[in-house]
Amino acid sequence: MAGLRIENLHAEAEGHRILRGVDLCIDAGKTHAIMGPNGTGKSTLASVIMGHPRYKVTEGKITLDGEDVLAMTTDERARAGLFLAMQSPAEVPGVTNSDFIKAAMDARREGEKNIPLFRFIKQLDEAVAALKMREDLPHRYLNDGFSGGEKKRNEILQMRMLHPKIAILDEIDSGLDVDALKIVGDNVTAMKDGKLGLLLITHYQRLLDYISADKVSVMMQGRIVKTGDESLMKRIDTEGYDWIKEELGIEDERVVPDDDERVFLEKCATKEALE
Amino acid sequence: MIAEQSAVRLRFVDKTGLVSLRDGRVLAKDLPRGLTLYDEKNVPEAVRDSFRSFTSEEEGFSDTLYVVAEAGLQKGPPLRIMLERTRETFRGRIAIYLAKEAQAEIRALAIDEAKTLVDDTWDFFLAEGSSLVFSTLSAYEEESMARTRRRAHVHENATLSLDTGALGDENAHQENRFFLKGRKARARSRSVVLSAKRQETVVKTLMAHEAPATESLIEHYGVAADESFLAFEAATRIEKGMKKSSARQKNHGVILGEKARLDANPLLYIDEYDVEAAHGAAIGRIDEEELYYLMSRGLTERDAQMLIIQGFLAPLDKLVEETDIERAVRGLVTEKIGR
Repeated sequence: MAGLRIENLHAEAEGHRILRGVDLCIDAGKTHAIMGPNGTGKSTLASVIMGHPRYKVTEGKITLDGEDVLAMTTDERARAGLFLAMQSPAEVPGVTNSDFIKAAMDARREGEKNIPLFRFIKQLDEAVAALKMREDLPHRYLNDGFSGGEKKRNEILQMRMLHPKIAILDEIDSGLDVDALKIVGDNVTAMKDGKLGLLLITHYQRLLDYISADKVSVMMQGRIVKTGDESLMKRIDTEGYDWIKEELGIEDERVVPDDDERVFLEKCATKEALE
Repeated sequence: MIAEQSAVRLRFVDKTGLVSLRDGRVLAKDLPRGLTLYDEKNVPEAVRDSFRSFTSEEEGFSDTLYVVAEAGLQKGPPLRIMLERTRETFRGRIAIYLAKEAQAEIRALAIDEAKTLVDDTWDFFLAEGSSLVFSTLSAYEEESMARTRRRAHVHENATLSLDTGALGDENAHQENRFFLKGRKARARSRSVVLSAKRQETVVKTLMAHEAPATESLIEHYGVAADESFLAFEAATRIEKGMKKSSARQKNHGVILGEKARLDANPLLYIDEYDVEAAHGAAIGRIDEEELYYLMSRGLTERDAQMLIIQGFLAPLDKLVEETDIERAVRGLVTEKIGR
C-alpha cells in the first residue's frame, strides 16, 4: 500500500541514542497522531525522516511508496513527496517568501517548465488569504521577524503550495492561540483529499479537536509503545501518561538529553586602543 | 530567479542623465539640471579650494573632473557616470562638490575589459545642509589590480550615503575615509564585495567624527568563495569633545569553500564619554539550519546556497534599482559562485 513505512529505526545525535526501534506506517489518505511527553524522541523522528544532518541513522529503514528514503538527500526526499512543518523553522534574511516558495515549486517540476508567474502569484495570494496572513507576506523575508504563530502558519502555507504526499506536522499547535489553531486546523483538514498521508506530532489533544486522526500512537524511550484510536487520545487527555508508563513498566520515558539546546556564538573582535 | 545566466557585464544602457568617460575623456554627457561638469582649467576657484586639503602634489593625478551641484538644488533624476579605462597609466580623479543645501544622487559604474592597473580617486565635498546619495559598482577583469580611494568631507547638517559593490574578478584595495566636519553631519558607507577564485580584496573604511552630534554607520557585506581572500577593516574615531555622536559598524561575511578566507577587524577609537557606539562582526559559513530548511522544501544544495547568498547580498538590490543593472548583478553573482 502507498505510504511511508518505518521499520526498526534507530538514530543518534552527537553520541546520544535517541530513536530506539521505531515501527510506524503512515498510509496514504490516513492521519496518524503521535503523542508523548517531552524528550521522548517525537521531533527527532520527524527530523530523521526529513534527513536533518545532525542525526545519524544506525539501523532500520524508511520507505516511501516502496522507495528507499534513507538513500535520498533531504531535497530528494522533499521532491519525492515528503514535507515537514517544522517546530522552529530557520529565519533567512534577504530571501523573500515568494522567491523561496517559487524556487521550491519549480524544483518539483523536474524536466518541466517553471510555474508561470501569474499562476504562482494567484495561488500564493489565495493561500495567504486562507491562512489569514499579512498581505505583504510574499515580500517579507522568510520567517525573519515573524511571530511564533506566523512561522507556524507559514509552514502550513508552504504545505498548501507544495502538495506533498506525506506531511509531518511537528508540534504545529505550540505557540498558537485558539483562533490561529482553528485556521491551521481548517486548512490542514481542507488538504485531506483521500491521498495525503498525515503525521501529527503533538503534546496535547487540542490539535485533534481540529484535525481528526485515524490512529493515535504514544512514543516513549525513542519508540512507539502503544497504538490505538481517538479513545486512546481521550484517555491521555484526562489521565495523562502515567498509566501507560505503569502498564509498560517504564520509569524514565525520556531519551533526549536536557542540555540539548545548542548555543550559537557570534564573533566579536577585540577592541584595540588608539595608536 | 536562480536560472543559469550567461556572462553579463555591467553597463548603463539608457543614455539619459549619463556621462561617459574613457580615461577621463568625456565621450558623452547629458547632465541633469543643476549639475555642471568642469575640468581643471575652468573649475570655479571656490570649488577647487574646497578640495585643496584633500590632495597633495605628489599624488600626481592625470586628470581631475569636477561635478558640481548648485546651491539649493532639489533632488532630481540621478546623474549616472560610466567609467572606462584603456590606458594603464591613467590615474583618474573625480571631485564631487555639493554647494549649500543641494541634494543629488549619483550612480557610477566602473568597467574595464582589459587586464590592467586601475587607480581611481573620488573626492566628496558636502557643504552645509547638502545631501548626496552615491552608489558605485565595479567589475574589472581577472588579473586587474584596482586601487580605489574615496575621501569625503561632510559639513554641518549634511548627509552622505555611499554604497559600493565590487563584483568583478580583480584584486582590489579600497580605502574610504570620511571626515564629519560639522555638527550633525552624517555619513553611511556600505560596501558589498563578492570575491572568488584567487582574488584578494581589502576594504578599509574610516569614519572620523570631528564635530559634535555627528553620526556614522559602516556596513561591510562580503562573500569569499573558492580560494579568495577578503578583508574588512572598519575604523571609527570619535575625538574628545565630540559629544552626542553616534557610531555604528556592521561586518557580515559568508565563507564558501574550504580554502577561502575572510577577515574582519572592527575598530572603535573613542576619546569621549557622551557618545553611542556599537560594532560587531559576524563571519561564518552558510548556516546549516538555513540550508537544511531550504533543502527540505526540495531545493538542491546548490540552489539553496545560491538563494541564501543572493539574500545575503540583498543590500545590493538597494544599490541598483535599474532593471538592466539589477539583472546583470544577479547574473554576475551566479556566474562567480554558482558554478
